[in-house]
Amino acid sequence: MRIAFFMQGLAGDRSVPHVSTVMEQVFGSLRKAGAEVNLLVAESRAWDLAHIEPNHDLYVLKSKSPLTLSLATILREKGADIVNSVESCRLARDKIAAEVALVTRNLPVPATWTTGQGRLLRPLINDGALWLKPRSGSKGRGVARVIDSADAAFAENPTDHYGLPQPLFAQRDVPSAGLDTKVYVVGERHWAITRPWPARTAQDKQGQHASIDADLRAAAVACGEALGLEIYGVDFLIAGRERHVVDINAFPGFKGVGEAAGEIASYLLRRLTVAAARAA
Amino acid sequence: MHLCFILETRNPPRPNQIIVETAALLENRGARVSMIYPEQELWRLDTLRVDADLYLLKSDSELALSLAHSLELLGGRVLNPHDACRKVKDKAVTAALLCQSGIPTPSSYAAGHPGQLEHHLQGGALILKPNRGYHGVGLAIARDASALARARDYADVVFAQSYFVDARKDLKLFGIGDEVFALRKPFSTDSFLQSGIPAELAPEHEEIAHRCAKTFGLSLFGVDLVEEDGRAFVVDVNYFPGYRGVPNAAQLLSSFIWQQCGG
Repeated sequence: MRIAFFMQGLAGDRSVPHVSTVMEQVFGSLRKAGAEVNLLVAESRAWDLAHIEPNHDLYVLKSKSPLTLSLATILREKGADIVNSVESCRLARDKIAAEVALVTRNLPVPATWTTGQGRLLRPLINDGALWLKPRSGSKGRGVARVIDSADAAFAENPTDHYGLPQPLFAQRDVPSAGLDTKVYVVGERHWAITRPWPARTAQDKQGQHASIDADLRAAAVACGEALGLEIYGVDFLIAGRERHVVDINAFPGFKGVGEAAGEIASYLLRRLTVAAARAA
Repeated sequence: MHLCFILETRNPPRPNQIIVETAALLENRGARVSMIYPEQELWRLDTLRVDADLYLLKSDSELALSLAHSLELLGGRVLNPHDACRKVKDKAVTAALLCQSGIPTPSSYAAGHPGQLEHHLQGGALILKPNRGYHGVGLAIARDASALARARDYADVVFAQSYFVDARKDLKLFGIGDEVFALRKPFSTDSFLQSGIPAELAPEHEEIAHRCAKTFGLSLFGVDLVEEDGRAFVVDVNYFPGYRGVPNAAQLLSSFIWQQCGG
């Protein structure tokens, strides 16, 4: 049985996969169970696009970089089995469409807007603070809380590296007890931690274990179903009985969840066994 | 019947004349036609609703694609479908699927940065493109390793194709449903705004166009070809192109769109 993980490269050397402690344990468990585990970094080399063929029983998208998603799309079109699916990863990366996917399931989301013109967001500040987020951002990068109508963000018409227009994405600030509640899901297993945002220290990132009630569990599972994810995290802001989904991550880091590595390995081994049997 | 064109913002925002005429012809048939420029409006996503029977995606922007996807998630119908448009917006995916379908296309590569392509220069010059670029932005031709080193910094992914130096590069095919038209139009930075000159459609080119449409699930599409030694190679596939220079384009488009609405 062969399993390949698309990994992010190290910041200093993109050809070397960044392997967290959790993922190191996942790889170890899979190897111990007899699987051949290979790590791929999409950005580490040039790919001849005529010769990309599935040669593993299962692919896992730990990285969701643009090149990873392009290669995974090609592999999917050629019949590869992939966790999480390419479609679900793309949807989770597109905050605009993901927001609408959650709305179709009546999930609690903050009021959310998008536009290409910062000035169109300015009047919204009269009703309260906004969170501005990159459409395809992750790990909190580029996220800013805006409270002032004079903020420079309202003068922006964002463009990409090549000058092509990019959307602005804004969410109404919603009440919380001052902490993010992160619900992690692996198949049927769930855990919750609370942690400050942004998480600055290693201790912040580990967070504190939190209880997970039936409603929160159901909301997290519905988020995963809405996006088609198998291994994921959902960020909630909770204040009393009021809760809002503010972010969804495909295959997050699972920091602070001691059991996660074993559960991820077991889940992937089950998927791998089924995929390998189908291929045989 | 409400039809809504999702258009690309230009300065000033206005559609090309063929779209204006197409909209007028659809209105003559009794449709209500609206035009939206996603970047110019404020969209409230948690209350977004489908209010058109058919959306016509005529913009390459990320916001337009996200909006089209959102409308499909809400049960709306988009022409061309969002998934087909996403595929052809990704040049690496496009090249791989062209190869898989046996459609002639130059040798193509994707990499994290131009320097990784050096080995592939052994086959000749490469043309570099941003993987998700459009309107010709970020193109560069690399004939040697030093040119790769000088190549601009490509964000995220660089896409490269064998560059046929001496090939004829002005043939474009335009598809409206099953009908295909050939035009000659030299490439330039604003050629997407220029009209082409109608040309004879060779049977083998028509077949290429149909195979591209089938491969990607497109019904309104454009295909760019280069020709060398009597052979044609697909270098790009686009959804809902401008159709400038296609005879009776507005008439054909309006008829096809009306047909898609059950008219």
